[in-house]
Order: sequence, then structure tokens, then C-alpha cells
Amino acid sequence: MSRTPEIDVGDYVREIPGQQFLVRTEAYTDEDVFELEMKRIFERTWIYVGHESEFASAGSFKTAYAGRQPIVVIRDKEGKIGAFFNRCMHRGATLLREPQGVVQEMRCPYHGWIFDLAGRTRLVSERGDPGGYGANFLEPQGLLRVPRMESYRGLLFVSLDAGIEPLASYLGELKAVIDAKLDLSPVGRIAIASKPYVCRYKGNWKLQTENIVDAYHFMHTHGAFVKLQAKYGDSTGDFGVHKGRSSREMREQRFRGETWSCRQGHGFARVPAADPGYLLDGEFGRMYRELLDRHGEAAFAGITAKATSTVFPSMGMIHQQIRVWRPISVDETEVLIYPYEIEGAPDAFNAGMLRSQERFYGPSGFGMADDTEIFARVTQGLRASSVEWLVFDRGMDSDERTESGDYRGLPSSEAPQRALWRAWENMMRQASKHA
Amino acid sequence: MLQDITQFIYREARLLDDRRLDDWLSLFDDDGLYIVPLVDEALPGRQAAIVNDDRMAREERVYHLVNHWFPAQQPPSRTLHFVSNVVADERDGLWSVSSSQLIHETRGGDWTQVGLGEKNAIVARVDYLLRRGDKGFRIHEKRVHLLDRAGWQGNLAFIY
Ligand code: FES
Ligand SMILES: [Fe+2]
Repeated sequence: MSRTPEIDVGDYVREIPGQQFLVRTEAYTDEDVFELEMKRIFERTWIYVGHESEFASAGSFKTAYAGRQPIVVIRDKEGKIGAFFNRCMHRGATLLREPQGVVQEMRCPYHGWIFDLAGRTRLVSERGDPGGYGANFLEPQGLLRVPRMESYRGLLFVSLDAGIEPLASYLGELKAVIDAKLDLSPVGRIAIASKPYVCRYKGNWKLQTENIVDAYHFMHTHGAFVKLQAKYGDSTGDFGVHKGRSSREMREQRFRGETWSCRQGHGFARVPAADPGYLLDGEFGRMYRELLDRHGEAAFAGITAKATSTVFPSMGMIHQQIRVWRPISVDETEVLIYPYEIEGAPDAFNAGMLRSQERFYGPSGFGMADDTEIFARVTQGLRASSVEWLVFDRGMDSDERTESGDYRGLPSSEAPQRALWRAWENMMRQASKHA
Repeated sequence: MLQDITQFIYREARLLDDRRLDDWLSLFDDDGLYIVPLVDEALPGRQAAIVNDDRMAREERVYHLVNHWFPAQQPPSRTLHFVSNVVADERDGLWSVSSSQLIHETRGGDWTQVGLGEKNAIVARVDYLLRRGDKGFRIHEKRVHLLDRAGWQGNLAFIY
């Protein structure tokens, strides 16, 4: 990975403000572009690695990736959560392999070196054996810590860039989306109890980044689901995730609200609740009335809105799930979907939300397999490299620049997709320390 | 009895392979379940499942497959089930049956289709709870333990 590709990324994104927005085909298909993305994007953004609720006790760990660099996140005996490169300081084996678990210490499977939960070297095995380490051996002090780790309301992110702006300011306008999602909880917290759905698709990682906030595709890619919803939505466990009893109602529902293109690359689409009164009088009315009392009408509208969002480059929060994706190669991507629970909400509420997500997501759900199938179709189509550009103009003429430097668009604008590409271009143009 | 049970399971598999999905629906008890868990010890209501279908949800799934065009099943999957190692025990009027199943799946289109899992071998321990009534057996529960449930999955947007 030390190869520094000689490519000029200066002309991959063409924007004529208010008019035209084009992205070059090779941005999805070129291996050199991919190599450069790993360095210039994944090594200097904030990368989501887990939620605090997944680290219940000392030794609780999760493995993750920043781009392609393996990382382990682990709680130590003092209760602190630390992030290290998941690589033995001797000759490089990963220390922990499982996606998550609990250990007493990190013991390397190759020659048996041991590191404690805070990453310090605890044992160099058979140190004094004949031909072992001499008196002058410069023992590595411990694992290499990932330069930055911060939490926003329990969501844990790391960055390989020591100089990156604080997480809270990086999240920018997207904080409002996260806050609203977490404030649905009477105690302001979510928790992850379920193992994730894991899928892979044949396609570039940016297809997922674009798609998770793509209001435009829904009525088409998921057109059959819309019909299914009209027939069965009320009887089989819809829980407001994809509300709407007829195609018309679902269409109308989708074309309310707003889209955002955040300057850091995040994007989101937010649709106000169709009928908040219905929530207040419904099965979980008590919970909603308490939320209304506590937060006031304006914040309550945000809490009950439906928002789909991406945190640039590889994490999203939609409905009641956290999604994280990892580039494997220029045309293969792994996606993890973690349904989460609203702490303090009635069990029936969380179970209903889970049921409704089971219905749409997962390998046998009514939605997700359609998206991954389409990604494969896009990957196939992009091999027509004779066509130079992809078109991202939709809604440009009606997007408005906000004071914060973001753009606010109408509901089916491609503003969230443009967010990705603006940040992408900006970061790809800047040489990083390593490349 | 074991022969009756085995025949029943072979027929169930054949209905799926022949895409006679409405007939497949009628094999189930009204309160029957079709479940594909993601983990071995699932906390109901807390742990997501790959499939978690009661009667209405099964009907919906079949309706979707039979009546709708959607990308994940365009072309639709073809399957062929190989069923073996059937073991059956009776408990409280329910037959608890376990089987090994090798399910070959391929999208039934032509050679130009794209996507992962173009030729899939699904390997699973399939456990049934069968109820014996006047008209023969009914499925009270069908539980598919995918051998690779802890790994990543491709497109499983069909009934298996
Ligand atoms: S590589 Fe870890 S002990 Fe040798
Ligand atoms: Fe989709």
C-alpha cells in the first residue's frame, strides 16, 4: 500500500454552481483512485467503530477497519475504551480476530506475546531462552494507539489523523439528526443488542454512501415493495419505518421534508412525521407525550421526523439502525447493519421496530437485496468507460446555501449525494502526509 | 412413521423447487412459523433474524415472489433441495424432526445476469416441528440454521 498512484484527481468532479454536477466514471472503477482514497479519505476522516453499549465490561472488544487498516477497540480495567492498530508489535499478526467478544488480555497467536487491555506489552514469551532476547533488546512498549478516538453521545469514532478537527465539529449539521434519533429515548440513549446483518456487494463503496440517503430511488428500485406495503403494511409488522398505505401516499410522504448536503461530506434526508397527533394518541402515546413535554414542540418535530443520514465516508443512521460499510477493493464492499434499541422505550416498541427492519433489511428482506443487486448492475454498466460522466444535477437549481456553509435541498434533490462528492474532491486533491 | 415424515419433507422441498408457493403455504399451521435465525441463541424481539415469518408474513412473502417484479428476483431463483439425515422424535404430540439440506440455488435467467451468488450452495440444518392431524402433517415450525449464518450473506430473497 506504499505505492503512490500518479493520477490527477483534479478533474473527477465538475460542478457548475446551480446548474451542473458531473462525476467521472473512473472515480468508481479505477484501482489507483481506490488506493488514493484509502490514504486521503479513510486515513483522515472520522471512522465509526462501535457504540459504547457494545463494551459492557473490562476486556470487551470489537474489531473494525479504518479503510483497510485493522483496528481493535477495547475496554481496559479502568473502564477506559481505547483503540489500537490490531497488529502484534513483533511480526504483525492480528491480535484479535473475532468481530467482538471479551478477553482477559491480548495474546498473539503466532509467538505468544501478550499485551494488556490498555495495550501495554506484558510478556515477551521465552525471553531468556538460548538465542532469545539479549539485555539490550528494545522491547516495544505496547501496541500502537490509533491517533484519535472520540465519542459523540456513545457513538465511537477513530481517526488516523492526529490533527483532525474534533468529532463534534466534524459532525456539523448532522449532529441535529443524531440528537433527534437519540432523543427518542426517554433517557437519551440507544443500545445495540442484536448482532448485525452482514452482506457484501460487487461494487464500489461510494454506491452505498450515495444510496443510503437516496430518496429518489425508492419508488423505482423498491417499487414492488411499495405495492406490497399498500397490501400488507398494516398486517405484517410495519412500524412506521416505511409508512404509507398506498403508492400515492408513500410517494407524497417521500416528497415532503428536506435534504442536506453538509460541507464535511455528510448528507441526510428528513421527512416530518405525517401525523404527530396519531403518535400522541397511539399505542406509545405516553412515551411521545413525555417527549413532547420534555423537548418542546420544535424539537419534538425533529424527534418524530424520519431521517436517513450518512456520516462521511462510511457510516449511516437510518430508521433505527446504524450502518457501517468497508471498502474491500475497488469493486467489493462489506456492509454491516446493526438494529439498535431505544433505551427506556417499552419493549413492544423496540420489538416492533426490530420486526419492521427485519422485514426490509437482511439478505431475505424485501429491500436490501434489491439495492445490492442494483449496485452490481451499476458496476456492470460503468464498465462502459466510453461514457465519461455520471449525472448528479437533480435539485441543484433549488438547493439553497445555508449560513453554516451547507446546502439545503428539496426532498428528492441529489443534494446528499453531492455532499459526498464535494468532500471527496476536496480531500482527494490534498496530498496527505503519507501520500 | 419415519417414512411418512420423510415423504412429507421431500414434498415440502419439491413444492419450493417447483415454485408452487401457495401449496407450500398450506403446509403450515395457522400459528406456524418459518424462521431463519442469524445467531444460535436469539433473544426474541431483541435479536434480528434473517426470516421471522408468521402466517401473514409468509403470505406476504409468497405474494411478493409470485406477483411482483423486483431487482433481487429478476430473474427469479431456481432451487433444488437435497434432503438427508432425517431424525424424528415425538414429544407432547409434536414431531421434532431434524434434517440436513443442501439447497442449490441459481438465478434462473441466462448467462448475462450479474450479482453475487450466481450459483449458490446453501447448506443448512433444517429443523421442523410437525403436528399430526386428520389430513396428515402440518408444519408448526420450520427453522433453517444456515451453516454459514455467522458469515456474510448474498442475496437470499427467495424461500429456501
Ligand atoms: S507476531 Fe505476535 S508474537 Fe510474533
Ligand atoms: Fe434502497
